[in-house]
Amino acid sequence: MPRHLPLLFSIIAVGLGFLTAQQIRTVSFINHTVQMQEGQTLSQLVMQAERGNLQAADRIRADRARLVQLGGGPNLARIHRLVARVRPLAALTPVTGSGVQVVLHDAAFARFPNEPAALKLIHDQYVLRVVALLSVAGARAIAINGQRYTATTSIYCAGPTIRINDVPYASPFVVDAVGPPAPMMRALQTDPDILGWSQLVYIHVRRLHDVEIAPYNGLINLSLAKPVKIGG
Amino acid sequence: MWIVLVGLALGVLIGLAVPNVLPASFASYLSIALLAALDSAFGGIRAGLEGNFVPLTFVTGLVSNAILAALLTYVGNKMGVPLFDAALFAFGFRIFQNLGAIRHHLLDRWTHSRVKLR
Repeated sequence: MPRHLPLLFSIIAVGLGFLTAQQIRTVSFINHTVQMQEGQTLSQLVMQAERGNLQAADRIRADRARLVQLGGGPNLARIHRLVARVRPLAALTPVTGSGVQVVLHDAAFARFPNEPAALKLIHDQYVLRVVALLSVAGARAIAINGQRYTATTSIYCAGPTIRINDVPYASPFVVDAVGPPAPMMRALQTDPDILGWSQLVYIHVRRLHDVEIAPYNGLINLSLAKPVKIGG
Repeated sequence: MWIVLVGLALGVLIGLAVPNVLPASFASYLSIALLAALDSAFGGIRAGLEGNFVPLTFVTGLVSNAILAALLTYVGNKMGVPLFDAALFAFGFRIFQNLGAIRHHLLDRWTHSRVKLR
């Protein structure tokens, strides 16, 4: 091995070591820079979106003011009155008043020997029957477990749960109704179906002085039912 | 051997101590040059174990491989041909081959030494 070789090797090693360290530092620097750039880009995007939102809000305010100017007067007031009258009917406003509360829940044990297990459960038809009886007796607003009963409400069994407005609920089911308490109580207490089911599951009716029923808060989709133009 | 390790450590220290880093656009070329150098280093170790290490070949190979790899990557970038990937694959493959050969040689040596002891 020639004498100058160790020196040459060590020089190469120094060079390689230097370059490796520089490379590691450069890469970490680049990563840092990219992160910084990403952060800056994101903050710019957020600011841009905020500016856009502000502009949109301004436009909406201006459009609303223009609408009031254009269609203002007796016509608009009439529409407002109509909407105010229709909204409670469409179950879109919270309502309060005297009424009844019906609680239905599954039986904890079989009431009769050899009773099928299905008879221990609350079924959709029980809830539907209660809702129908309350409507007949003059209920003005009904909610089942807080789900407002509307023109498009569906109540059906889905496995161990009952879906009300497409939201699954398990027993117990609490049906609140605002309306004339006495006729509603009578309707429920004298109905042969309810009396029969009460033998199998827990159905409890009580009169309430003050029932508060929340509005319907789901999607409203009447796309399949087109309004008919009257006189058109 | 120790002088190489000392040189390497010294180089790393200098690299860390220098206040500036190389421009970011150099990073990919430097990385491929380092990979080429690493390949040559392992090749050198392998040749040493096999007993056919030629210092001049090693040194020229190391330097020219590193420079050529960086240069080819640069040219490839200019031409839109990803030669970086090709070099990465080639050098990576050779490094693992060399590492395998080194391991085999070391294992052979170790087993021979145990046979001699008996």
